[in-house]
Amino acid sequence: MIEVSHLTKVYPGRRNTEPVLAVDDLSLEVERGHVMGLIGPSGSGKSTLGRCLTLLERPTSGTITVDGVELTGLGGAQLRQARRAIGMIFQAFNLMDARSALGNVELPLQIAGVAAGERRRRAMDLLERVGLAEKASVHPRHLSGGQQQRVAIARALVNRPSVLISDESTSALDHANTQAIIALLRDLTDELGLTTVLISHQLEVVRDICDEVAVLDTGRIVRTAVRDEQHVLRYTNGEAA
Amino acid sequence: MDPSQIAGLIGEATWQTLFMVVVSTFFAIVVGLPLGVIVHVTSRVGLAPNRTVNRILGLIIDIGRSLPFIILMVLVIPLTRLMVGTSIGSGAAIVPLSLSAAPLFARLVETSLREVAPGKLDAGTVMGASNFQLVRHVLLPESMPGLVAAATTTFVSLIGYSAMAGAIGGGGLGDVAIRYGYQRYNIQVLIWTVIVLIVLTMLVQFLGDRLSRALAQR
Repeated sequence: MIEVSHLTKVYPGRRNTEPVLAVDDLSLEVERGHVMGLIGPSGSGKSTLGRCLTLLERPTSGTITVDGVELTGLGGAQLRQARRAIGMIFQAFNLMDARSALGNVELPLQIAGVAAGERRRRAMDLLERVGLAEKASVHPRHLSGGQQQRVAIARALVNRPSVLISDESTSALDHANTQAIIALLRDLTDELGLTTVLISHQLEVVRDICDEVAVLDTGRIVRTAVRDEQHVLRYTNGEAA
Repeated sequence: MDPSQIAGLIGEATWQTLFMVVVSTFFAIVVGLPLGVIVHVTSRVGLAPNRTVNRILGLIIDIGRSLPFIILMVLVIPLTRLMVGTSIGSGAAIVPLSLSAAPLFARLVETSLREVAPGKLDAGTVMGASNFQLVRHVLLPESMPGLVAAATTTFVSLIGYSAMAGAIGGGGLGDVAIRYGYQRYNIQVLIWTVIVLIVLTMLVQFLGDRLSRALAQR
């Protein structure tokens, strides 16, 4: 479960620039096992919020609690430990070019100090799960965008996190690959019971797999939608999303 | 001088030059790599920004780089005596050579590290990596092609510096060029030293480029 309470993020101004209020006193909850879509145009604060959820950005004020652990109160080794419960995938994939697909998936385990044999086995299991077992020894440069994002998904899940955050993970992909990645994410979030936040500038992309949606603008939630009994995603005013 | 004498002279000097340059490159890397990493890590965009440390190390690097090698060589003679026991010969030349190449290598390291996409560090951070792990598993491996190119540039610069070391009794090809080419005006010996220096430089540059490219294209 993710609880965000009164989160504010201000980027301090530098010489000649005004401070930027990226997230403005925002609160939201994502129930355990639910998939929440965070939708908004660029500059709406959705990516900043996503980066705050993993403390890639320190919020200016407010708290973030994941599975009962208040991340915003942690630092150093405790924060590093807590981050292992969160997987994140990115628009730019962010794979390591110096490592093979398998090496990339092994990296989080290596960082966590898991022994080599166990590491290899678990990484291979996940590569198989995302359908890339036969590409294990291939380096990212020689993989397609869709394949790279599959490797990144395997890497994000290898530590067996309870939370997955996707920051525009399909924005660099074509339509077919976007559909395939979304379908894979739907299967995996169901299978693993992941509490998931999907950040996207397009509702259409993530609509089918979200249990609820929050629309952001200028750092605030301006609209929310949840699934009703007929499994239709509806805004609070009754309109279908 | 007959050709076999020249060959012997040039051969021995080449080995002395290679010895000086290889050992100095090694020490330049040992000192320059951590220095370059710390300067990058403490920079404003680094993993652990620290203005004071960054400024001080940056200043040391800039001072080291702005000193002409021939002056640095004379300046550190007391240090060389302390470390090697003498200030003359190829072994002694290694001290000023390493000292002058370390700041150069450090700056090149810093530039290479800056090229690593910040997103890769984000990915590592979310995995729960410490700063040390980020340096070891992300920054250094991901900038390896640049680091190899930096080592190549350093090696090639040191070939040039080592010839200057010959001017104050450092041995090697520079020493031969000065003693035979300059003082006795033996044009044949002079030409051979130049040829060997050019071939050596081209060979090292070629091998370094190959390795760097191979790493980048993995």
